Amino acid sequence: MLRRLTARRRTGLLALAAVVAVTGSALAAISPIASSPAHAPAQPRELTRAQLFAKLEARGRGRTRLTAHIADAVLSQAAQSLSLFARARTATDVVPQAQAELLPEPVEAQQSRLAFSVGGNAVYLVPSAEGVCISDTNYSQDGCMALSVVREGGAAESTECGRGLPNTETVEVAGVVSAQAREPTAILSNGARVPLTVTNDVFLADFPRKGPLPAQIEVKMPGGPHFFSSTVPADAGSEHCVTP
Amino acid sequence: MKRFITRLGVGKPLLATLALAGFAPIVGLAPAQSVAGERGVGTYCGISVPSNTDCANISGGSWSNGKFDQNAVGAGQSGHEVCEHTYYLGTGTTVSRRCAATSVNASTDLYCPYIEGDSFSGHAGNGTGGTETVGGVTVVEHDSCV
Repeated sequence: MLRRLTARRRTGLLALAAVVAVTGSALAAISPIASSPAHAPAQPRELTRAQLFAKLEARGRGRTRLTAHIADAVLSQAAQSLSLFARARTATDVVPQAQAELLPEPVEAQQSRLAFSVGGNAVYLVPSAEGVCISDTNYSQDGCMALSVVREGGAAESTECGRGLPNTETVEVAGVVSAQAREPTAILSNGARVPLTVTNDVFLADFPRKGPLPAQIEVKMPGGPHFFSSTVPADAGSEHCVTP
Repeated sequence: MKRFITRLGVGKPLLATLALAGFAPIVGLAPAQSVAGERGVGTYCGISVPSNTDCANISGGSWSNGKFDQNAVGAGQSGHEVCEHTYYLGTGTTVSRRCAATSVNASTDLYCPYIEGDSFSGHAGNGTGGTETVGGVTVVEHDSCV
């Protein structure tokens, strides 16, 4: 028992140190942005190995709040490029705590927004220190994207095998696009183009595993077409999933 | 009180040849890192990984074998594409595979098999966009199959 308590205390201290490290580094990254012109793009940053592990370790149960200063800065940045964060939060925007705790990096769950609900699946955007995360009640999406990339046009995530998918023969792609993006289109591996439905900056689309899968997403930005990866691996079509 | 053991470590290179989707395997290289903990956080990889490559398949790379219900993977540079790929240990079949443009987690995919006593091999890979630092964390956080 003593050994276990000691281990728990050690784990707790490590977690605390990780949170401090992450919020500190995030603050350092955000501060210059907060003092820059209103529409200056957030700059990507390169984490050291230690910072990367600290960020991943700081996620999880009971850790769904960033510091108020960081949260304010993130929300301000998000509101500049995503319409969802430009409006006031309502009761329907509250992401279930169990979902927020599963996101891969520390988030500000108190500033979540409901993007849409379809077929009983509620899809939320949750701000993180560097961007936004997608979380849905089906648990089919659980990833985070950099706001700096979203601002360029959009960013995606995908689930090739996951419990929340309709079945094991489905690959799902989700993403966040800039409020300025128009005509979002999935470009499949065979060159075919499939229009994507975007609701409140967010899209979520299912594709049959055995068919051509999305390779890229194209959006029309004011400056011209912009392409970004669907994140679907090239061999996803031959994947055999045994997700329960 | 129920005691959970999370044992993370270097396993047989059985899964080293299993690539994350489309990731070119490099046969013959053995992972070099192991981490052990009791119901705690285990980290793996954390090195530069070429694009479209599983960290387990490069020199000095690693993966995480053991009992866990989360496999969170992130990129050193925000906006860079990464994937998590979690296999059943032993059979090598995929239980969870997800990708995103900065970080991604296995979500609830491992909940039920973990409760049922299954062990996993958690992998992290770099997606498209050039060499990047990729890191993974495997951990037990939930004790239910919901």
